[in-house]
Amino acid sequence: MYAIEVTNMTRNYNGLTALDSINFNVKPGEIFGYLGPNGAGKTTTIRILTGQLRPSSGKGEVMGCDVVDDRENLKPQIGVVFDTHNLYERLSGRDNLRFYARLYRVGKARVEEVLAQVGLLDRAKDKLKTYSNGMKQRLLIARALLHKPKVLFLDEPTRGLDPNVSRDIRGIIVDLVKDGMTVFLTTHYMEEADQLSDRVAIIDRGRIVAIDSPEKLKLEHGAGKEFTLEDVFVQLTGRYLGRGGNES
Amino acid sequence: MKTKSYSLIDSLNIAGSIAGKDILEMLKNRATLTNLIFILVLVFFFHWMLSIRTFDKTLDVVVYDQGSNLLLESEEFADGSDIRILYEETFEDMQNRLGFQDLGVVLTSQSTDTGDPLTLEGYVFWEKRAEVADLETEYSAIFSQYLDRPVQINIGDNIIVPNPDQSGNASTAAFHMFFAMFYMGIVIMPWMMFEERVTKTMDALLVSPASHAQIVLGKGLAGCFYIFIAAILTLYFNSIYVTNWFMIAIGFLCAIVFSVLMGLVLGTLIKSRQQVQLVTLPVIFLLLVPTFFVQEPNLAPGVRSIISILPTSAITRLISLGTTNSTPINLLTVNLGIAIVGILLLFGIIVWQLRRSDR
Repeated sequence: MYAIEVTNMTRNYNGLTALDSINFNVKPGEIFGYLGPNGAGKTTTIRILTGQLRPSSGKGEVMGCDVVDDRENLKPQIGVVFDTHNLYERLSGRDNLRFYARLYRVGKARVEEVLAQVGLLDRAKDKLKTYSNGMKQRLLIARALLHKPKVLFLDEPTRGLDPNVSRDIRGIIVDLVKDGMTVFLTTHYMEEADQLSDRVAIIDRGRIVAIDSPEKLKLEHGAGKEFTLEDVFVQLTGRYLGRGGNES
Repeated sequence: MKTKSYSLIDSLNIAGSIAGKDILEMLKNRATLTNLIFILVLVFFFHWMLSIRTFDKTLDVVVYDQGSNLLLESEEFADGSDIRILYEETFEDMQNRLGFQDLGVVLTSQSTDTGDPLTLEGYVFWEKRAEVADLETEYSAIFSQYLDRPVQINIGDNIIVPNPDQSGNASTAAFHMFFAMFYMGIVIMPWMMFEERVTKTMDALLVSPASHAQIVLGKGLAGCFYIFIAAILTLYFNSIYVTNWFMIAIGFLCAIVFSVLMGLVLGTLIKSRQQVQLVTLPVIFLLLVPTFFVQEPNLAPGVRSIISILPTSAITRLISLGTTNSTPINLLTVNLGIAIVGILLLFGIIVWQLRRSDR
């Protein structure tokens, strides 16, 4: 069984096609990089796979749970780190987690455990408005891990963070995968995707234009040259820049 | 396919957790806290407003003369700076007028025949029932001074309870009580939902085990908590007008449920900070302001018809029935019916919104 399986998934918004019959799957324990320019359909895919949005057609399954018809069983299987710091600013870090712990029916001990896991134990009682962006990001990860999900969706988890915090967060992700978690990662940092991902999919204008391991993509698109994942990405999606793109 | 369904207890636990979080968060939110304090100050202000007439030291007396002209001939009564006399043709008219006046007096031929110490039957409204002994002393002294002879005002059990169509402090109090609850609902609750949407914490809630319905229920419970505080406070200040606690309970229940649902509906409509006032103000003007005039006797019939079919007016009338001497079954059923229809309508809108948001 795949951890994530997407079949002919399409999503239309008021006549615009955000996702155009995409297909891919993610193996259990894999870090799957999901790359694409702004507006390519990355967040729409995550929203559908996490049960926040219905696809217009097609099918999506996460850990065997249909993302439309089996959302009650889907929710305990997934953790989501959003691309915004959607936390309760007036509450402390600990109170934020305790609130979600009650929703997931998880004990207070687990709250302390994840706080320690992301290195926030000593600041747990402070209100969120005193937290740095990096701390908030770590708290988002802690929240997503509270109920020990099998699949973790990370929507640009290191955006806007300094290199030290980014490295910390990448370390957390690697540790999670070692523990058997599947990670679905979107990022604009190609180096990060290259470093972390077992496989990547590149989506452009709602269509998956490439899917493979970073190494294979670099070899395939480099045609003998020393290509980086960023070069591959620009080659496949860089039409707007007027150079190197396949539609420029 | 395996399915896991949440029991009612699970749903209530989730909704309770959301409500607990909202109650705590709102107390830490300056904007909502300001609104909360504003509403509580308003409740106190309304209470003060009803008693403001006590600052006017003129004693307003409604007189029903059963046959004696003694007092009619007493010019000092009519011109006295401390007593204002109003005459009514019947005892019922005197009772009706008493809603806004201090004292009703019935003049009998027996009592005015002699120049001996005069004993007059006094009547006061229900809200003054606890002060009868003091009022007897106070009014007797004032009358003695103006008639220049010993006068004893006997009130005793002459307590007039307003009838359901009567306007006065009691009906105004009913408006105040409804206002406090409804205003709390439409000001506090949309803010709660709107903020969750703007900060995108709603997205995090929606990927948690909480369903749309449980989130709405949680918000509703948090709203209930705050509306309940307003209800308790306004009832404390206005309990003096209550004649029928059962009707008050029905009226308050309708008011709380309607206010919560209205707050939830507004919360689903408001998408930005700017829309808070844009959506709330029309509701205040269309649904809240008319309730103030619900028992206004001089209202044009057409306007009265429109106002009386508003659920907010119906609920205010239900509350006001708890401050009157009787509960006419037609008034009760019509107003309860309108209130229930209004509640079901709002509930229907919320269910419809929930189904839409599930796509």
